[in-house]
Amino acid sequence: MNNLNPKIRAHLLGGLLLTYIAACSGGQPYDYQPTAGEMKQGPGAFSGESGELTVYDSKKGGLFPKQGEAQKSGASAADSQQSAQPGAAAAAAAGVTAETAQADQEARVTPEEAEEFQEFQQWKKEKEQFHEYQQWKKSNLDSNEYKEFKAYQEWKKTSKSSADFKEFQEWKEFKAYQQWKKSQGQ
Amino acid sequence: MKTRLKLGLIVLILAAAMLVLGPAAYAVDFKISGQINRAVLWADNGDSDDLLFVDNDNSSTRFRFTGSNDFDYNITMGITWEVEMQSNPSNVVDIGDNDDTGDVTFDERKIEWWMSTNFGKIYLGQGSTASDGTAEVDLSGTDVITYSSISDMAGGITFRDKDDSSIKLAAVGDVSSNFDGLSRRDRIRYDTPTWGGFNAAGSYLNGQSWDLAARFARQWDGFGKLAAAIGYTGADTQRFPYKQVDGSVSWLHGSGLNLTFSAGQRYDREGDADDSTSIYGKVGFKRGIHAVSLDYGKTDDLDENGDKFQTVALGYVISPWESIEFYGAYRWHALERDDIDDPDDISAVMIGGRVKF
Repeated sequence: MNNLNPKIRAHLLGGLLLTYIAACSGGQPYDYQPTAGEMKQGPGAFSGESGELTVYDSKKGGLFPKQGEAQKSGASAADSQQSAQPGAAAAAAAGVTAETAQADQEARVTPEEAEEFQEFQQWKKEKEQFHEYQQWKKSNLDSNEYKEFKAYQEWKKTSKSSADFKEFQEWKEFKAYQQWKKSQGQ
Repeated sequence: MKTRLKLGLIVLILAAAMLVLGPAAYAVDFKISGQINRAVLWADNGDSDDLLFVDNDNSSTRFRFTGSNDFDYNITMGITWEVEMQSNPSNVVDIGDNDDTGDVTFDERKIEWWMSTNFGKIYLGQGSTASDGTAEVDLSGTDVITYSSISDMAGGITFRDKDDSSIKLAAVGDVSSNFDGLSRRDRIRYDTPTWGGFNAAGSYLNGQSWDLAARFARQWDGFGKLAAAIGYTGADTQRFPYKQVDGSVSWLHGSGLNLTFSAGQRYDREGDADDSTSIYGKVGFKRGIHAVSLDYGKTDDLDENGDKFQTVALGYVISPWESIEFYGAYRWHALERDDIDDPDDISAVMIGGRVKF
C-alpha cells in the first residue's frame, strides 16, 4: 500500500473520510444493489411488477404450480373477486369455505387440507384487521399513531430481506398455526 | 496455502452438514428474468468513421435463473445461473468491421450457489469476487450508457497511427480501466452481515489469488442516498502479477442532483512497468423518467509506460416505462503516447434501448 500514487491515495482517503463522516451523522442503512454492468432492476415487460417470471413459488404458485398451489391460486382469485364485490359474495364464499373446514374436521384432515384451512383462517383474520384498519385510518389520518404506522410500512418495504422481517414472517406463520390448532380443539 | 485449503474445506463441510441436518424446507422459489440491450454505435477515429449495430456492453443482453429455499434457523440457500449472449459487443467492434463478430455463444457470468445465515453469506462457484463492482458504485441512473468502465461503450475502437492509419496502436479498452477488482471468477466468497450500512467481504480464487472489499450504503431524509465501496486485491500471485486497490462513492440528493467518483491503481507489476492509475468523476441529474450526466475519466500508464488516456462523455437516459430505457451518449477519447505523434481523438455516439422482459 506504500506504493500508492499520492493522488490516488488522497482520493481514496478522501472517499473513506467522507464515508466515515456520513456514517457518524445519523441516517438509515439501505440495501444498495449494484446497477452498473448488472441486469436492469425493477419490473419486466412480460414478467410484470416483480421483473421475474416465477416458474415455481411454494407460497404463490407459478407457471407450473402443483395441484395444491393451483387450488390456492384459485382461492386467491376468489379472494380478489370478493374484494371487488364485497358483501354477499364474500360471505357466501367464506361460508362455503367454513363448511368445508368443518367437514375436514369431521373427516380425516390431510396436511394439504390443514394448510388450506390455515390459510383461510389467516385470510379471515387479516380481512377483519383490514376493515379495522380502514375504520381507524378514516378517523386517525393526522394522529401520531398513524404517522408511526406509515413509518412502519416504510420500514417493512426496506426490510423485506432483513433477518427481522423474516423473523416477523415466521412469527406470523406460528400465530396462524396456533389459531388452527386451537380451532381443532387441541 | 494448506491452511487456507483446510479452512475452505471446513466451510464447505459445514455448509453441506447444515443442508443435510437442517429440518424440512419451506418457501421455495424458482424464477427467470432477462434483458435485451441493443444499440447503434457511430464512431470516428479521425481517419474514418462507421456505423455499427451492437450489443451494449455496459449491461449486456442476458438472462438468468434464480432460485432460493428458506430453512429454519434463518438459513436461505439459493442459486444463480446467469449467462450473456452478445452479438457484436460494443466493447469489441472496430471501425471497418463489416461482418458481425464471429459466432454468437453463451458466455457464463454467474454459475453459483449461495447460503445466507445470520452470520453472513457464502457463495461458491463462478460469480462476483468480493472486490467486483467496488470501482463502479453509481447512483446516477445513467450507468446503462456511461459509468466508470469507459471501454464498455466503444472499447474496441482503435487509435490509429498518425502517419499510417492502417496501423492500429491500441484499442480504447487497452488504454483505459477503472481497476475494478477481480471481476467474476470461480471462487469462494464470504460476505459479513451488514452493520449500520457497513459490510465486508473476501474471496479466494484459482491461482492462489484473493481479494477483500468493504461496502457502505446509507440514506438520510434531507440529504439523499450515499453508497461507497473499496476493494483490495493482494493478488501478487501466479495469476495476477500485480496488486490493485480501487474505490468509488456515489451520492444522490433528494433533488435528483448526483455526484459519483471512482479511483484505482494497479501496482507492483512485473518488470519496469509504471504503476497504472485511474480517476473518474461524474455529475448528473435525475428526475422522474429522465437522467442526464457528464463525466470525465483518466487512465495513465496502462498499455505502455507514459500513456495518458482521457475521456469525456455526456449521457442521457429516459425510462418511459419501468421495464424499458432508451439512452444516448456522446463520448470523446484521447490518447497521448511517448515517442510518437499523438493519434487522432476518437469520437463515439451510442443510441439504443434496454428492455427487461
